[in-house]
Amino acid sequence: MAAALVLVVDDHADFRQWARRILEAAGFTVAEAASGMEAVAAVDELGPDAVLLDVQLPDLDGFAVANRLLGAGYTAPVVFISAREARDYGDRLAHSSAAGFIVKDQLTGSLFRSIIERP
Amino acid sequence: MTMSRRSRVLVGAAGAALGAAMLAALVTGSERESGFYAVAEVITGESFIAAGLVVSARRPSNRAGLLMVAVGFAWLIRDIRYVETSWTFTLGMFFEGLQWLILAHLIVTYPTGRAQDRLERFTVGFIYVYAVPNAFGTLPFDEARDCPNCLANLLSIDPDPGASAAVRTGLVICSIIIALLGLVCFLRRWQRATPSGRRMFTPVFAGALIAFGVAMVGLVTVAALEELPSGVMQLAFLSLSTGLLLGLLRGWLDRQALSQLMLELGRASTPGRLRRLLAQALHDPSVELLYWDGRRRTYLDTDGRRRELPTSSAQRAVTPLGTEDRPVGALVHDPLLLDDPVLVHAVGEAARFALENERLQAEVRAQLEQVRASRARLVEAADAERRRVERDLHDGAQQRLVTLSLALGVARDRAASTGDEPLCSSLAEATEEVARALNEVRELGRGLHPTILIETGLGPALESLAERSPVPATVAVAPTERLPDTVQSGAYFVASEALANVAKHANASHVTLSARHHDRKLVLEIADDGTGGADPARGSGLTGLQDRVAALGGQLRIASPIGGGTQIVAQIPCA
Repeated sequence: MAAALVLVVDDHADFRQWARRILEAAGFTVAEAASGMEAVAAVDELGPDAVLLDVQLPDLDGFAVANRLLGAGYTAPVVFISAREARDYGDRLAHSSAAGFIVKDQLTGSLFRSIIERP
Repeated sequence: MTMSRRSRVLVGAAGAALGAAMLAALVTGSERESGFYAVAEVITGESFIAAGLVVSARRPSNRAGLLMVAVGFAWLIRDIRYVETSWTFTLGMFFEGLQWLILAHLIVTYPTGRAQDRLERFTVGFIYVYAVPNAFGTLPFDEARDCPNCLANLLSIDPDPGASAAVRTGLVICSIIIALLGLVCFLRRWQRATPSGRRMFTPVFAGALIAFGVAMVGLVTVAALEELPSGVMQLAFLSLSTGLLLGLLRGWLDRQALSQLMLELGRASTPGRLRRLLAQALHDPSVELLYWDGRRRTYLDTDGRRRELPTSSAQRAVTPLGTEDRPVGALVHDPLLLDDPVLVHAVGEAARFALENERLQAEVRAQLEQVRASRARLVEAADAERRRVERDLHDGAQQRLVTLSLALGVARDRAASTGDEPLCSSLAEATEEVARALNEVRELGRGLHPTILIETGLGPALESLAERSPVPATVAVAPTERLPDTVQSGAYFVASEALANVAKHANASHVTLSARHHDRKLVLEIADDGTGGADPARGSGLTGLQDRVAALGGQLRIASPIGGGTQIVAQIPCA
């Protein structure tokens, strides 16, 4: 069985690099996107099994990207990620279609897997 | 021709001396009159002289005053006939009637004393042409009075009752013509006058009416008693002089209106009302008030329309307000008002004062508005700068700490896989240290510009503040709708600073936050159950809050009785 493909969306290249290392170490295949529009195009092109999506992006924010993906019929899990804490976004996270939220410095392969495999 | 103060004193003294001399002649001469008649005669003449001098003093450019003085002298000089010589008798007879002619001149040219058109000039000319035969026409034909006690008519050369009667008839006809022309001229002037000008005619009408009534009573009495009662003619003349004086000195009567104007200027809240007040004070409903627009260098009327300043003419006169290099406005009014320069000047000064005051108030309002706008811009700029710094922190230090933390995590996993426990332990400690640094950076970022405020609005942001408050805090009410950035940002920082103050100074066990948005303003209240006694003057940060709220056009009230907790209420307008 092929490794699950995860699209990492973040405008910081350093983070994408470390996220790739962490997720690949956990057995995922990783693709990258540096902006919201790139993410929408990459999902359409690659059809990833999950998306690790930064909330704050230079063009569209993570909530808008998630809404677009949902609108385009993409139903695989989307996990928000941010250097800020969940409480900084109030109830927007709860009202979004995301499968979960991870603070960036807490990212581990096992945490990510547990979220996307949560029923 | 105007009279100086010295001239007026000399004329007054001459009039008084002439009056005294005539009084003496009247009561001591061979044809002596009763004391009542003598006094009435002199008072009548003196009243014209005095009234004329007063008019000349108050209205130097008005010639009516000079004419009144001349009437008074002519009235008195004719009484020289009572002096016990034939030549003075003849001189008195020569002057008899001159007072009527000058009075006619005065009435024809009332109230300016100047003939203005051909009819008036013709009438005045006719009057003085008539004066010559009036003076010289009858005396040569009068009978020489041969009674032993009578004084002689020195000009009598050909006593002829027939010729005398013929000349007198001619003169009577001319007198009637003069009277009719005078009446026409007077009524034309009245008819052409503005409401302001007509006010000057009213006392003359009243005086003339009284004079007419007195004359009628006199004539009836003559018919019954065959002689004119003593003092009737004088009383009629006195009525006229009083009417003329009152009409010409309208300005004196206007002082009360001027005082009223000064009292009401402060309440003249609109240009239209100010114009009406000026019209009342000047008794000229046609008065126009023009404002000088320094920026456009033109005059504007009270409706703000551009107006050319009219040139002074027979129809309209212009009184500029302010100085030539610093005009304030102008009054456009009836030229008749120029006869009373004191009143026009006083009202003009009052108008200038009101306009200057209005201009200064407008300038202060504009400056205040500029200051308010500038302060609001400063707050907006400071907010934008905070947001930029928070963003830089997020994209810079925070991201680096994140990647450092991730790198440490990867290294720790590797150390664990190799069984290097000491290294693993050290890396775990380093990771915790980085996590603490990240938390501090996050708090710093929240303090600079809280993300939650942008993401979710004031309500959740206040909830977040309450959650993080060291003193237990609850949010009782919070708006669910989004407010303007500056408003919710200002309210958030007031709440944040107030909660920090509670933690530092209030010794409170609980704080309640509430924010209500209604009637286009946000009312934020932070109340604690602490010791109270907060004083903005002691530099507790409350002054900064007041400044911040004021910069948004709002108000901040602090109630902090000793032992009664502290309540801070900020009202911020939501434009």
